[in-house]
Amino acid sequence: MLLFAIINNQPPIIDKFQIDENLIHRIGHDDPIAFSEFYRLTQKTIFSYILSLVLNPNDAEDIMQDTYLKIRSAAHLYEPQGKPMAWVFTIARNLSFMHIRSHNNIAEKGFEDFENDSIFSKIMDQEDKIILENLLRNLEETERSVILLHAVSGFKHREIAKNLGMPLATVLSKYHRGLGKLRKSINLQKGGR
Amino acid sequence: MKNQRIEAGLSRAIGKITPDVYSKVATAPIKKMVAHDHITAPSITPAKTSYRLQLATVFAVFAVVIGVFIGWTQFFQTFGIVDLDVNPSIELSINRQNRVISAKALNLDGVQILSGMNLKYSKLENAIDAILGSMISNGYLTSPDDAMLVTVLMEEEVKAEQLENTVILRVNQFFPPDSTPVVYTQSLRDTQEIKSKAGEYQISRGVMNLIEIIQQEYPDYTIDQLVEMPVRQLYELAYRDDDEQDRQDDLDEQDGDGEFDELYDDNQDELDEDENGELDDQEDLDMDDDVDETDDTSGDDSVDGDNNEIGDDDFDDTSDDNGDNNDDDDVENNDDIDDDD
Repeated sequence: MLLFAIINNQPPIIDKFQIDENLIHRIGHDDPIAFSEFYRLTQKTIFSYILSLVLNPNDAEDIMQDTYLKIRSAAHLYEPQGKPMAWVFTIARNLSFMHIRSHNNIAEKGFEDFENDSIFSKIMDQEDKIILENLLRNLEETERSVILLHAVSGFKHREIAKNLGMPLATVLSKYHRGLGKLRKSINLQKGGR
Repeated sequence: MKNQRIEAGLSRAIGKITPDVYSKVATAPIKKMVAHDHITAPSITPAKTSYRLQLATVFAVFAVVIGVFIGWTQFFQTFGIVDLDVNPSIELSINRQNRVISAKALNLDGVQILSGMNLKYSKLENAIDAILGSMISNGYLTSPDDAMLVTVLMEEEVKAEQLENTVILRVNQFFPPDSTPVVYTQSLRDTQEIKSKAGEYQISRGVMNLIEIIQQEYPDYTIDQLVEMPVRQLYELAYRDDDEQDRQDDLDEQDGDGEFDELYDDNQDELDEDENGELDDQEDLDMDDDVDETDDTSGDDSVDGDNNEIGDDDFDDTSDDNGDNNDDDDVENNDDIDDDD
């Protein structure tokens, strides 16, 4: 199945999120199978994290590309520290902030086009769209990041804290407060419609 | 709306909008970086702990360090040294609890004594027992004429004296009363100078101290000569003047003219035979004629052999002056009768 997927230029689908440092090490040695495995494991996670920072899905896509290219360029320099995803998030965050600075901090502006954005129109389920819209509109940056990572990647709060370099208490606080705000705003939006 | 539902909706939404850029990133030409830049440099900072927790941790670590230090000083730090010299020479380092931290042989004979023995952390008393037992097994301290020098090196004088007494007591307890060796003791302050000198000659600090005392009084003795001397001879040489001074002091307390000294020396054996230590010259007592010692069971000199009271003239045999074996008094009575004719 793996061989078929590679021939068709489609990386295999791997459900279980398991990133170990050996994967990074192999990417550093230009192992294509390792990179394809890594990509599939981290695709949604990296995109959602970048989206939580820049709020614009198009920008998030560009930054996501840059992130993977950067990983390929620097994987051989990575020193095992027991937290490979922390390194990946560092790269994604730095690239995202560079982008925001270079665009004069107009991340919020990008979000205003949610309704008309073609990317968001791919979300068929209305409720799902409302949820994502309210998250991006009403929550602060850390709350967005924590909730999205928890929902999309399946990270536990402790893992999120470790990967983002934040105290666990902060992560838990942001998570619960963010969800509370999200529930409230969703209910308001539903009630207003 | 429940959290689970919200998160599920988010997951589905993200799944729908996540782009697939694999083809763009997997095969794109890249330039391998020589070193991390500001983007890839790992910059994960550890999560901050609360101030209270940090403070508590600092105090806890400090308390542990203090505790370990105190424990170390109490148990592992040398508080005093006990040198045991017979001919084998042994040095015991002890802690505040009088436990042996280390046992060292200072000469080859000492090595033989300590052979096969692990005295570390044992009580001093038990260590002494073991050493004494080993000495006896190796032919030392088998006679009451044998001597042992015990030297205590410690800063605290009171403690040093207690330690001396502990060792002496233990030695006395170890040996039967009639075979206890002579135990000489001394207390010293441990100095680097004496330690170096003793080490140079491979002798104990206690013996080195004796040698230094002897050399002050008798400079003709060389260290090489003195090192070969038995402990008893060394001690007596070192402290001989002190013993003589003590003896003179005793004499001065008596009469000071020396006659007692002569009497003491000449009659000491005789005096020692008497249990009470008092003069008991029975011959002098026997010269008293008034008392027949064989009948005077009461010890009362007031009766003679016939149980008559002394001083009663009626029964005085010596009153028969005319030789008729009659009492002269009776003759006097007869004369009175004759007068009546």
